[in-house]
Amino acid sequence: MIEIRGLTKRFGEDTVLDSVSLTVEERKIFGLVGRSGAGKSTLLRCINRLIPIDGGEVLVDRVNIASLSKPAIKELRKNIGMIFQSFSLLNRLTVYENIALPLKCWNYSKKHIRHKASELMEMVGIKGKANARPMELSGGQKQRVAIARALTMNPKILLCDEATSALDPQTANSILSLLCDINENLGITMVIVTHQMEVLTAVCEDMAILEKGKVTTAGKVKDLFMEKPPALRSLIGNRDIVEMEDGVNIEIFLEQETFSYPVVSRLTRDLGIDCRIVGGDLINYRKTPIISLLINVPEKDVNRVTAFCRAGDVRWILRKTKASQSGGACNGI
Amino acid sequence: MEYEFLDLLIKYFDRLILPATIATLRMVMFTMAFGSLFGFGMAVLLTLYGPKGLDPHDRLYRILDFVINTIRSFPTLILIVAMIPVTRALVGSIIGEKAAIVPLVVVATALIGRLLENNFKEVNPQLIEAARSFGASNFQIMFKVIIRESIPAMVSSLTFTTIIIISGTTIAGVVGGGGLGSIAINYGYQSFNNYILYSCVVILVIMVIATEYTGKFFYRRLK
Repeated sequence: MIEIRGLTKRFGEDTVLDSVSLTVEERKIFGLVGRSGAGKSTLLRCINRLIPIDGGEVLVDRVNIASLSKPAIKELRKNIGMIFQSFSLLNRLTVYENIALPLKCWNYSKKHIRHKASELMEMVGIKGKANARPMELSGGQKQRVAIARALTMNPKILLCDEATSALDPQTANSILSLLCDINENLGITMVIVTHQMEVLTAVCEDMAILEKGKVTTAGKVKDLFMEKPPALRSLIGNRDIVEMEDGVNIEIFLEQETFSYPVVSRLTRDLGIDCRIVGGDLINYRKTPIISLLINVPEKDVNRVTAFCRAGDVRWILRKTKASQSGGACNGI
Repeated sequence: MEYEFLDLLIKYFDRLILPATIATLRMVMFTMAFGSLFGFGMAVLLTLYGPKGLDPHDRLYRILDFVINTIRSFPTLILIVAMIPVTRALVGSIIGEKAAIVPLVVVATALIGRLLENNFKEVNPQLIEAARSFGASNFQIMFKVIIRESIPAMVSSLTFTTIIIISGTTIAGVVGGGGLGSIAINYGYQSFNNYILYSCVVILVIMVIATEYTGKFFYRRLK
């Protein structure tokens, strides 16, 4: 769907994006995270060519958009909706007029505009607000209007630039679940730029981490949040755990299918070993949470424990501890 | 005494002050009509070609910018005098209402051009980015986004310019432009006739207040 190969972007002397490559699959929600100034928003703006591209390729539906003519760029943008942190609504226009604006720019008939706008207003849940002005709306409602506006041209892709950053957590959640519904019902591919990890885990399936203009890590959100590679850990910070003098730490993950499985009690009973609980966490991944449990078992039993997990279809990851002292870089996960 | 005052007032009002007031209004209206038209065009070009504009075009912008700055640095009276050859070529005369309008339109164009350009610059750049993102052309962004969002600010700018032009017409009066300015000087100041001088002043004050009030009214309505 969107394939980026060796994308480079400079602003004057600054190289904002340095040979970035990543793939966004069709109908998926893709999360792009990184610190401020990492180049996330710039990367997003390369996808709909809001800014020119200095090097590399950006393929949208197998078409390289790096070298499109002006009319072709306009046509491209028709297929790509975009929403922003500050909503970007015209304050002097009503909700209806704001939503109708893209359609008017593309010279659609009045009948079609009226029909499309009311359909979208109903879908995003602002039906009674057609004649209100953005000033009279709450942040969440404004973002709903912006989402409706972005969907007027039936885009295949929706780009979200920090779309929930200006909203309170509850409103942000309602916007995220709206985006999820849109993704499911309309099959729109989404690229979400955010610095909030909750947003990432709540809606995204795939993700990439940008650091100083480079993609350092990319993959499935679920896998990465379990594995916690260094790039992700530097974003979310180290988790506090209890350090044991001996034994080996194993992180066990319980997902929806394994929630009902009493893994720890089975483990101790069946294998006849002692295990200590040293940490735990809950990852709110999309609609189903993942429980992460950090246990400490004697070193000699590690292989038996992993074999037990494998047999029970439970995911696990070995975490190094001070006691096992190899590398030491992974202390505190 | 009372009778004499009223008598004088009616006499002057009928023959001098009323026609002059109408002449001033006419000059202001024509100047503002043409000035707004040209100034608006100027502002659109400045916004298009400006360094952070929709379609940056450095050389064109600098030429327009230079022209506006040059006009704006002339004191009105000097500009009126300096433009005499142009005025003569355009209207065939250098005295009277029509002749006064020519330099005033130039003043108004430069002023409105700059003020509206500033109004347009105030539009949130994120709105422009959003409009680009749904495929609006530069022309559509200009007229459907930038101008629509700046209407209240434009009303303020035009109100401000109208007041400047009202005082501009009185200056034009001095160089034979007619209107309240010229009778205040010729019949009032130079003939030692305070009735006429101060009547003109009062009428000008009323005009300015009325303009300001109307401007504010529309500003509030449109905001």
